[in-house]
Amino acid sequence: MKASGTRRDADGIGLHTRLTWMLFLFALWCGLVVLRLAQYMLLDRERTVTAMARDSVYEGVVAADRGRILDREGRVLAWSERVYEVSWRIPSSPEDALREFGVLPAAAPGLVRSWAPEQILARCGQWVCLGTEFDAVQVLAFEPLRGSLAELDVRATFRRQRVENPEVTALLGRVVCTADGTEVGVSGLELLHDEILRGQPGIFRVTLDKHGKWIPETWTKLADLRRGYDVHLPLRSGTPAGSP
Amino acid sequence: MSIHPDIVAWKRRFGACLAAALGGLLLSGARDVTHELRHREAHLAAVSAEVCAWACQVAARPLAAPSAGDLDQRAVFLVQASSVPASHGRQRAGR
Repeated sequence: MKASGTRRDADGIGLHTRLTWMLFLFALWCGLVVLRLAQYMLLDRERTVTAMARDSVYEGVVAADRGRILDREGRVLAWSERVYEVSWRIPSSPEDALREFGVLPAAAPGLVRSWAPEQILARCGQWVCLGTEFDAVQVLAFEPLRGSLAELDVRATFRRQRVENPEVTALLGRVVCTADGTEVGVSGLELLHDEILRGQPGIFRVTLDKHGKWIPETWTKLADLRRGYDVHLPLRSGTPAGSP
Repeated sequence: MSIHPDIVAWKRRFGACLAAALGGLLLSGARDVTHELRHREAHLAAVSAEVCAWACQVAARPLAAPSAGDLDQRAVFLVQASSVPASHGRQRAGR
């Protein structure tokens, strides 16, 4: 009877000790987790959030087309064209370089100048420009190549075109491109009517996958893309040669 | 009054709490997943329409309309090609 009571007491003390230890270890684990979370959320918050946003989200701007300038009879005096520059980075490996080179002419016939294989092999690892004046329809020919070419870079810029008339050209003035590609008037009528002619750039956000590629279904519009308004001038131009 | 804890009862209580927590997690997860699946097609159609509208404006001509629930890869490509990063000027990223 006494021995049984002693064993029960010993079991109770052993259980109590085990429970205390378990509680201590659990509290220690919780404390470590909380400290780690506090480090991420309070101390390293700025750095962590910046790194995550930089790596996983792309926020882009699409420059708007600048409006046209027309004379009082509706003839176009100045207009903008969006043109694309396409560059291809030749792979460092000669086999990959020749394989990628093989798909180029088939996908974009007539758009890419002919290269000799020796020329390609001599430029392994370098960027080569495939063209600088492609229009939107032409550049779409490169879309199927995205899966075949490891590195293909396409950039858009604007060309402000004017009628071939020195007097009108001097009156119209000049435009320059800003960092986001928007054309801004800096002199003449382009400057005078800049607020009307300049459109509103579209802004969007998209999530990137682990390879840095867009996940298109995550695309979100942040600001509308709106082209600039046309300006009708109360003057009559001479010859509208070269107008679209 | 016994000072010994009723281990069996505590085990039951702990098991019930664990089951309730797991059940809640599973239910909320399942609800989120089904919600996303139900609205995925409509979301894709909305995104596709917006991207296509931008691509048409960039190309200054209409592009072929994509099939329902599918993103027109050409429109995506055109918008990609016409964009620059919002915060890094002309530096390119996320191609």
